[in-house]
Amino acid sequence: MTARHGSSGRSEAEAAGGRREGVERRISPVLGESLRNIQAEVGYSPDIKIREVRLGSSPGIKAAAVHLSGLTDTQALNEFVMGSLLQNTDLLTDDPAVHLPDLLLGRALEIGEASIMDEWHDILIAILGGDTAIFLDGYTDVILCATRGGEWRSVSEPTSQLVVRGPKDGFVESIATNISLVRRRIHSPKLRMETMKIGSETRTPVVMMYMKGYASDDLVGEVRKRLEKVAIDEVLESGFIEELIQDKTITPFPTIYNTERPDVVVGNLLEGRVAVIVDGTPFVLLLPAVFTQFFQSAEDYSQRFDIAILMRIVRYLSFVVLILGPSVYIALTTYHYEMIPTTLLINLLSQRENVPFPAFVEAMLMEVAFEFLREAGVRMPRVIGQTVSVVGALILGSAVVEAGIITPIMVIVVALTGIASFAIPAYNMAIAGRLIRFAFLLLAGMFGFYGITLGLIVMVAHMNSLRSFGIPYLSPFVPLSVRGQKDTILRLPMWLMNTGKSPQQMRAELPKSMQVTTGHEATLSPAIQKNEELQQKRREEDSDEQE
Amino acid sequence: MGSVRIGLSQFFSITLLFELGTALVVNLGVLSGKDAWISILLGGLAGILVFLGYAYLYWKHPDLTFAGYTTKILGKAVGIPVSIAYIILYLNLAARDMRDGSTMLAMATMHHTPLFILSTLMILSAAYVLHKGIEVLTRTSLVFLLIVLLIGVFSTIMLMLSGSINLNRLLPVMETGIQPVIESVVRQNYMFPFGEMVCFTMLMPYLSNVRKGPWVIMGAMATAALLLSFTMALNIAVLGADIAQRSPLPLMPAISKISISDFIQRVDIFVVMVLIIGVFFKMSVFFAAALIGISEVFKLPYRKMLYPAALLILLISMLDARSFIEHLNEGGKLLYTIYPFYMLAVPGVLILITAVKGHFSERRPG
Amino acid sequence: MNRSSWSKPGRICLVPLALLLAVMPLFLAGCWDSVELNRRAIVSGVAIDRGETEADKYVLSFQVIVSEEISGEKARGIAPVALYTGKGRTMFEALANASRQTARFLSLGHVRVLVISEKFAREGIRDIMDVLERESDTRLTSLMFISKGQPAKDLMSTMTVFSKIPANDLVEKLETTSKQFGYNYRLEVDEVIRGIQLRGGGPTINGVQTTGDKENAGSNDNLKTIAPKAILRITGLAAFKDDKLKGWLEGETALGTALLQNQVKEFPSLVEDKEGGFIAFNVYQSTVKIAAEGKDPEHPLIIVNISQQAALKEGPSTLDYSNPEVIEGLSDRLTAETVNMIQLAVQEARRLGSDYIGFGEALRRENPRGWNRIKDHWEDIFQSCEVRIKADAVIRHTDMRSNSFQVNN
Repeated sequence: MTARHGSSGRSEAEAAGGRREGVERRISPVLGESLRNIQAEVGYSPDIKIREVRLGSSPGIKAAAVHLSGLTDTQALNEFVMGSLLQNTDLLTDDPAVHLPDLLLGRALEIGEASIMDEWHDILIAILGGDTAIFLDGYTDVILCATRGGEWRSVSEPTSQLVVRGPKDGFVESIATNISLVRRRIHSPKLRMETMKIGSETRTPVVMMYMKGYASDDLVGEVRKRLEKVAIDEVLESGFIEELIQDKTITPFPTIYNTERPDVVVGNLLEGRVAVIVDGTPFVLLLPAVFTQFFQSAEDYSQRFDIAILMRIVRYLSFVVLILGPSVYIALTTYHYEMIPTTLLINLLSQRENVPFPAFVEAMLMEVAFEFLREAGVRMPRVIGQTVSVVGALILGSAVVEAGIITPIMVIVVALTGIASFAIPAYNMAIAGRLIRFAFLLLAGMFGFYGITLGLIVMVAHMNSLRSFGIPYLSPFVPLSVRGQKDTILRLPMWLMNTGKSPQQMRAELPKSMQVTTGHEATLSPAIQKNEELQQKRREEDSDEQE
Repeated sequence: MGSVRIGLSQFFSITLLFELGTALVVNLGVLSGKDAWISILLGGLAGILVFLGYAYLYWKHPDLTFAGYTTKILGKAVGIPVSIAYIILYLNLAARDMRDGSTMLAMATMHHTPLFILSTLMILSAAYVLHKGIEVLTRTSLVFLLIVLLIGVFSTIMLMLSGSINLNRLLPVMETGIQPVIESVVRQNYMFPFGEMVCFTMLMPYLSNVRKGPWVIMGAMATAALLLSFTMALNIAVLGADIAQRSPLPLMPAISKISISDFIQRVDIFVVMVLIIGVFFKMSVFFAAALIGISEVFKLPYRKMLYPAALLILLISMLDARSFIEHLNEGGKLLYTIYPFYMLAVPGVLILITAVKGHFSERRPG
Repeated sequence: MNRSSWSKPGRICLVPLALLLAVMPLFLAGCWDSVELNRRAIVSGVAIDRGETEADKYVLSFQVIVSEEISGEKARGIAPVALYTGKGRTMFEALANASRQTARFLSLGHVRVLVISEKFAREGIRDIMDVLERESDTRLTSLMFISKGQPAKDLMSTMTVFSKIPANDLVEKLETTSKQFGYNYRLEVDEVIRGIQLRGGGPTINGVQTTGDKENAGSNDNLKTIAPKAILRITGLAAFKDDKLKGWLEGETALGTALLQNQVKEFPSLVEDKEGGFIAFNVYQSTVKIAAEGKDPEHPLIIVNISQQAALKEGPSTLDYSNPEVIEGLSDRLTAETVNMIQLAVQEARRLGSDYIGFGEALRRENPRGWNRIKDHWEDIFQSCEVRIKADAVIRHTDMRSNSFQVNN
């Protein structure tokens, strides 16, 4: 179908395109011209399908349905759009008083969602998003039928954040499916959504979701504001947005939580957080996020509370081991050997005989090797990945010890930190820990416990200076809130938790002086400021061109 | 100034850490022998009384720092030089504290690391934290107060379990009468560490609650006095008065007596950690007080003078004395010659003027 | 516009850059205090002997652990420890002297045993203690010993059966004996210092000696026979006046002294049976309180309160142990035994002229002002003051049997 217009219309269309540069393209009442415009706009892409029909009795009204193959739900298109268009021929009259698009929309089309539009740009974006546009000869109004669909991955178990007990469904790449997964769990009119398109080229649908009355209006307003300020070309993953809306960019710590699990999103919505769902990725952003949140798992609420507390303590402990494990070992052996029990010391000493590297270098080498291993294991195809980790962990580890290059105890320490990093439920927090670990290693190698202590002070101060959408990162520990401890390291039994309040509600109850103001310009990250500047620049360029 | 407010719990923790600071590890109240713990308690009481004076000034001028109300009360011509004198005091105290800390660290574990390097690392960390703001400093103190207290509880329990505590070593109480205790209080304990609270006059405008704030700080001071007294009593009960008296850091040998079946042993590194944390926060508070003073007197942005002031503190601490003995000796002299002037005389005059003014201004309408 | 967007990241970069510049030289200059473990020679015990001349007054022998021999896979079959000796006018000089022979840094952080020779102890140990207390590397929890009648060095070079490191062996022996049978108890560096400072008294320090073939004690041959040729053993208590050794306490005297110092955990006590033979008790708890009545400090009254708990361990006689009166009678005699031990201990202390028991401290706690008046001649008062002993012993049970079995006839 497209081929007919293809070669013949090209030069003309290009000429038309050139002529119209900078001028708003409009829908022509002449059907052929509209279609050519569309073809030209998308660069004669083969996946744009145009089906020209004549409605009503001969000669009938010329019409054309335009859609993008692959993105549309073919069944819906065939049955409810094309079928209903061509079958309801008796409706058509030649009465000029009748507005044909309205008539069709109101009487003929069987599809559930359809609208009339006359903005060229919006129509184009809709077609590119998978809708079907029906052009009618003689009208500048276009009927848009929601036929979005096509092939998506079906809902399956999430690959990260696994649980032993709990729901097994995970988000997919389709935003509609993702919204439905949340909706299915909250049958409440308070669940609100706002859609926006982000990315000047990708025009990715992004949905901001919150519970009215749970999330504070300040927060919702602030998120909206920051989302609106995002100006980038492409949004391929929620990470793109995450980096642009967070409070601060220069920190290893994540200040926005992401999850693949609808139940986690629901739980957090009810705690007053805002979710940002981005089309094309199963990872949904939750904000604001505080430090403790990264140590919570959906399973904590499925298990008994005492067991959940134990699991949480284990996770925090694993974080401490992750960042301090190798550095404490270095500090102990090279600075404070007197603290090691004598028999253990003798053991370590005999291991260290004939090892060529200083303990610090040894630790660095092993840690870096472990990072190689982990990176290789993650990126490799799953089948080979396992081989890599077996080869790395078992063979490399024992060979290195056998060869007398590394002491066995160092392999133990490194393996322990490695395992500890997997015990942290949030991957991005684990990565942060892995990075910080090297800093502490350096400090311990140079200054022993002095370095470690100062490093800890600086790290905690840094975490204290962080905010996630105005919420102090270390709350509710610092600033201390006793009522806030219900769900941090502790996880109180449900009957005690239900009386709990969300961090936002708690914040609202604080004395005015202690409330943290959100949303003034000063807290915006440099990235956002840069974005604003970029936008400003673009606007100026645009205006230049127009002149 | 008014925008940042610091909560009461954070003020409590920063005050407590500031008071514990170096005092926790050094041989405080050493002049009174085995009754050091009494003189610490009395010193704390005296310190709280002195602080009531500062609190009075604060209640009269809740939005002003010490520099602010000095200028207001005494006028610009007198007030600004006085404020500058205080800034110098704070810089000096910060520097002295850092020298204390780095030397003790060098004595305890880092025998070969140059003092300059130890101090540089410390002041850089402090500068980083203060760069993030005073609020961040106080919040961080909350976390580290917890760590210090945990170490304290752990050590006490371990000492009990290893059977090193002998309360007989604290007896007889006041064997030579009350005089040495009083002397120790007068010469040292009311000033160190309690009189040093004068620098909180620079921080108090950040208090989130004008009415309760000073009381919380006094509560923290009282807690500090109790903890310090307890620690010193513990040191003496473990080591005996003589050894405790002769050790510059009695907490270290005391803690090193911990030995649980030769597995948990030589945990004196915890004392070193407490020392580092204490010195860090104490120094940072002085540093912050000086910075606030500078920014107020010279009308400069707070962060602008951060690194120059850090450099200044570093230099003062390095050039302060040739040896630790000289340093301590000098400190002892300052303690009862110069510091009373700063910590008692000037605030006393201010209180007097404020009170008299208040008295008359109340009379007039009536 | 451009300029402003440049300057902002620039300012952010400056601080880390400056920090990096500050830190880099530190890293290049090396880590001052860092010492790799395989550069250390861990000293497990130190023997301090009196040299012949003043120029080498201090002869220090360091027992260094050869770790590979103890837990390494590549053991060469050599001795598990090595002994290095240094001489000097001071302790520190002797240490420096010894380090010339060692390939690694002599690290004193794990010294568990300090042995001083009897000869030195008789001369005075004050000067030795100063460095032990002052040095930050050494630990206050090291145990002190006096080598009885032989050079301290010998004790550091005796091969032992159980712990490959002789110093550890000594520690373990002390712990065993103090837990079950003895009057020896853990005595650490700071306790010795406090003991020396005791007015009119001094510390009591555990003695140690080797018995048997001392010639070959230091070689593996020592252990090749089932009965080791030379054995390292704990002996009596060395009683000091100030910092000088005055005499040795053994047997019941030593036990009485340890009781008075409240350091005995468990010990066997024997009571003579009327029918001949002995009845043995295990005294598993004894608490001693020393108080003083000192209104007149020139003539104080020292009150020793002792309460004990015991269990019958061995009593092959015809006594009816199920009769409370019999048990009562036995506990009275147990009490008498204890009182006897304490009296012996006090007598010996008076004979040696040293109040290492701590009667003076008791008086000082009671009447500090009076004590100040008399402390200069406390020695005289100690010789003559009245001591009242209040003892109380309870026999809690007779273990797994009541009466002893008798030969049926």
